[in-house]
Amino acid sequence: MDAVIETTNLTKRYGRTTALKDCSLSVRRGEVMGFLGPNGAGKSTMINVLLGFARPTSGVATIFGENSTRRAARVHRRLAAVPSDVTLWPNLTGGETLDLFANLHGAVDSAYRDLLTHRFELDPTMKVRAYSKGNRQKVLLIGALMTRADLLILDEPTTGLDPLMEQAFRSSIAEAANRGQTVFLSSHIMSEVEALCDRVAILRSGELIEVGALHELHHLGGRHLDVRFNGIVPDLSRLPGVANFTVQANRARFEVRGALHPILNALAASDVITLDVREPSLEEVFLEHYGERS
Amino acid sequence: MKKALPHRRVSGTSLIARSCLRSGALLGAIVGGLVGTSARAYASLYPTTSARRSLALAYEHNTAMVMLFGPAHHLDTVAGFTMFKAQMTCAILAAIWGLLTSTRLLRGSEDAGRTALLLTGSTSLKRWTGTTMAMFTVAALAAWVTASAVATVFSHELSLQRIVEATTILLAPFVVFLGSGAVASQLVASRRGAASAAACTLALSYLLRAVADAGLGLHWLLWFTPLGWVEQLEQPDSGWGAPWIAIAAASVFLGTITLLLSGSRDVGAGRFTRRTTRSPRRLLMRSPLAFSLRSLGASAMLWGVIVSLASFLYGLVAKSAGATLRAGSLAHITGGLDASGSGTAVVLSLTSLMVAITLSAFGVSQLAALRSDEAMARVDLVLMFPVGRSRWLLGRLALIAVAIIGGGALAGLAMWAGAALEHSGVSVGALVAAGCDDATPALALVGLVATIYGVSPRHTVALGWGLLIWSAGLVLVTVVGSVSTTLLTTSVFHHLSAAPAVRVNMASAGTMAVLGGLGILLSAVTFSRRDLIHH
Repeated sequence: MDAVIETTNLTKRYGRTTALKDCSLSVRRGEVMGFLGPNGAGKSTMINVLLGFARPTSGVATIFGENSTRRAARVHRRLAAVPSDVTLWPNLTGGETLDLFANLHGAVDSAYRDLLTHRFELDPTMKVRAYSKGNRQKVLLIGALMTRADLLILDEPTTGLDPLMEQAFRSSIAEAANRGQTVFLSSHIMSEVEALCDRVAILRSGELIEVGALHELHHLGGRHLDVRFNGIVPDLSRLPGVANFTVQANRARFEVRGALHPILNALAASDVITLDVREPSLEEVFLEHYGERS
Repeated sequence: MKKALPHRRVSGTSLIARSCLRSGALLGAIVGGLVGTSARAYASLYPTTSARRSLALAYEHNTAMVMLFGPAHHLDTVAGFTMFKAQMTCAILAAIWGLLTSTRLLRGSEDAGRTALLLTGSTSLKRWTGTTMAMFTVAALAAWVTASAVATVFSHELSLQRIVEATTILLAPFVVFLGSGAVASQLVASRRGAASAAACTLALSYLLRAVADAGLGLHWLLWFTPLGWVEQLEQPDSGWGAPWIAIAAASVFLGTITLLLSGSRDVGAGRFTRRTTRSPRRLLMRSPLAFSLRSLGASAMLWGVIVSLASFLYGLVAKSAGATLRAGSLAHITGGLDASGSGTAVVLSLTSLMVAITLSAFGVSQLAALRSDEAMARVDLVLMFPVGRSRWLLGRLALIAVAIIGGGALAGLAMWAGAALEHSGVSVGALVAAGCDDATPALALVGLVATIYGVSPRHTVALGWGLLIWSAGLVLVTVVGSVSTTLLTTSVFHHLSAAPAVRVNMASAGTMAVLGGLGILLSAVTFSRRDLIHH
């Protein structure tokens, strides 16, 4: 079976609030799947259901073909997770916490643990109480990565990390992907998802509204054009597909959805100095496409 | 959708004031209850002048008793007996309450980051500390008013003036140790550390007072301890002026020191630097059960030491205390406890009841800790590994049960050691059996509260403590008064045999142990079928 995570019509209600609604999602073996959504969209609820911490109201979630709720302990043998909003034991040192995680998981790659401790610049002799937020997050990250588990479920894993450590995290995930590990990454940081993920699922108000490869999602947003003219800027705002047309001195900026040839024809008739066309970033797609709808 | 709460204006000061009010009122209710029931108990246990005189003769010159509980004055009066019976218990309770309240509101709030949040507004740490300490007066006033009101309701044997005097004296340590906790909160950068440091000053204070009362010519030591000042207030000949001046001066001094320290330190830091690093201690980390034991161990040992020490001390005084009980009084207590036997055995039965209540309090506190672990998502950190939910909970609850049974046996042994030193003639077997029997209502209560945890974790703490207070309250009232039998059967302690005054009722003990076990099993099943609930 190729799917590592499979959810079918997964619904989770808390009283009258629907946190997840009919979510059907499949994460394939070896892929890095980004899981995006605004605050309160239901990302952590989905992860809690996958980890067996919350029971679905209806629908099924399976991991490695096993029911994630009923066979949670069995499923957990092959996965490692970084949950969000957890509190480590303040009296343990970082190293003791990692020892505990290693014992609870059963088997870890000790050499890799040392490498990760060095890479993330963590002092394992320090008590958790004395750690900064970022350092506590590093303990959780190392704890998950050192297991070399077949599946990594990461909920907002880079919270509190500085840019250098974010870079360390990205290289660790890249290593995991190269080793064939599957990664399910819930994140707010679009650049992170864009840099790491093969596919992206977007959740809004508990509903999965988009699942696809990054290049597919890029087409959901308009291309960004930045044109510098020698002389007067022609009015291109009425051309088909043009939006957000702004002019500043001899420079026009706008977005184009759909075919480019009407624009190129119009530009050919003008005295163009420079032309810059770029695909929208994931963040722009997210803000434009999903911000409008919400 | 969740129902919107009505809009209320909330400020940091009002939150602190509310917390102080609650804390003070609860302490007041307990102190008032103890004063009131002590007065009632005296009137019913020692109804005649001769009985009261023999009590006074037995206690007033007993050095061991004076060292433990403070000097006894005018034991032939209701007021004198009430003060003697309540003084040390209430003074220590008020002191502990005071230090826990101030460390919670000052250092606990800082630990949780709430103080830093408040300081982003237009206030400084020094000013905020001053505001919090000003709110301590609300706690003290609430305690005093509630204690006086509750004692008045419970007792008709004491005049209002005597009640007000008594509650004022008994609550004085609350004020001093609010200050002690406040200073500790400036010195030590964790709530637990600050509370421990303040508790050390209380222990030292008690020790100094005991030495001063040991008849070694060191009576002047009483001036160096807050508990000594309180003790001097109870001595009718010494006059009130000097001890009250000492209490007021100490409170002002501690308040001033707190303010000065808070103005010269960083938020989140203490004046004492802590070790932030250490070499790894890997003991009891190999499995979820071992780690549960590691988490439970220190707390269980502390409770074990407290319950053993208290049992030893009560064992030590059981013979002399039992001798003061006349036949009529004895019949009253034994009727309430459904017991029979000598005065010594009855006093040991009462001690045994206290042990059962303490063991139950330990059990409830451990379930409250379990709930706290789930609320803070620490449980997630264990269950995200290949650890079965039911199995993990069963292991943790089994450890609590073992600690309770061990604590009961230890208490029985300590009680015997104390009683044997006084040649009380009670066998070790009888007292260890009584101690083990004490564990059974605690197990039943743990089973019940564990079931609540399994079904509705958010209600664990309130219902757990509520059930304990209900059960203990009912059975304690029967010792001094009467309660309807139907109501009494709802108390787990009512089903405890009054051992060693009577033989342990194995059927009753077995039933409670089985109920406890079933509750634990049920909680494991329900826990595995519900969501983990944070916050």
